[in-house]
Amino acid sequence: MKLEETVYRFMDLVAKNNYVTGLSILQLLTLTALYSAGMAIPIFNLGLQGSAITAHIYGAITVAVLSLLILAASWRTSDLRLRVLALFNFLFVLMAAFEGLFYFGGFVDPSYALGMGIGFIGALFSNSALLFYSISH
Amino acid sequence: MSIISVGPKSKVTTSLAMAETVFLTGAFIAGLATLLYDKFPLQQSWQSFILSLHISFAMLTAFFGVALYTATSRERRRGLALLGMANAIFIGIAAAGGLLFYSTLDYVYSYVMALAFVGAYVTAVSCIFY
Repeated sequence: MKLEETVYRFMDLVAKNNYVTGLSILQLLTLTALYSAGMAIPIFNLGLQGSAITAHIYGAITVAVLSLLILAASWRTSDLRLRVLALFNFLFVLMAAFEGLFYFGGFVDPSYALGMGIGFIGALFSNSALLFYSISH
Repeated sequence: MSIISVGPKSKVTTSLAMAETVFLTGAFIAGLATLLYDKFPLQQSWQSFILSLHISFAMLTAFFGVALYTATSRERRRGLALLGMANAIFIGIAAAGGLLFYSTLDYVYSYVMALAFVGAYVTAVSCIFY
């Protein structure tokens, strides 16, 4: 019975605010994986081919889909702050994605990689803000 | 009180967490610029400017991390106290990684610094919104 209760409590937590909490947890995990794969490329000079860039791009696609889902889920709640945070999350993910596409698609200049990092930090900020706001409200 | 419990939070914690987040953001952007633009050993003055910016923001982060830890440890909500403690621990790991990288120039420590940053940032932001 103890385990069952724990599972039910976790399900209640994940379903809070129309599933914004659960989706934010998933996005936080994906962002961490994407970051550890993407940061290994410039630190260890891996180049733009191989397993690290593949993991980075698949993580980026997952984060983009999840940010769209979080935007949709938060729009069905009546909380304005949740909606604004989700909108910021979506816009920052979009910015990081476009800077990454410019960098990967031929404009190999470090300033695009810096823009990707700035988009990442905005996405991480709004994602953890969404997660902890959604847990406590 | 249990870990996930909602209650009042002092304004000091929120303000310190906001300052901490600003400094962590500055440290990340300056550190990424150091990674992308600088070549060790440093030759140009603008390269050392970026590195100095990163180190200054990192030291401000360390001071405000300790202040945030003391503020959260006085809260009645146990979750906040745990988040403040995790923040201080992650900043410690990142600082140790940065110092070891600067003394050995081994890129593994740079990677440790980058990974510990994510934990520090998430816990600092959570102290604002939790």
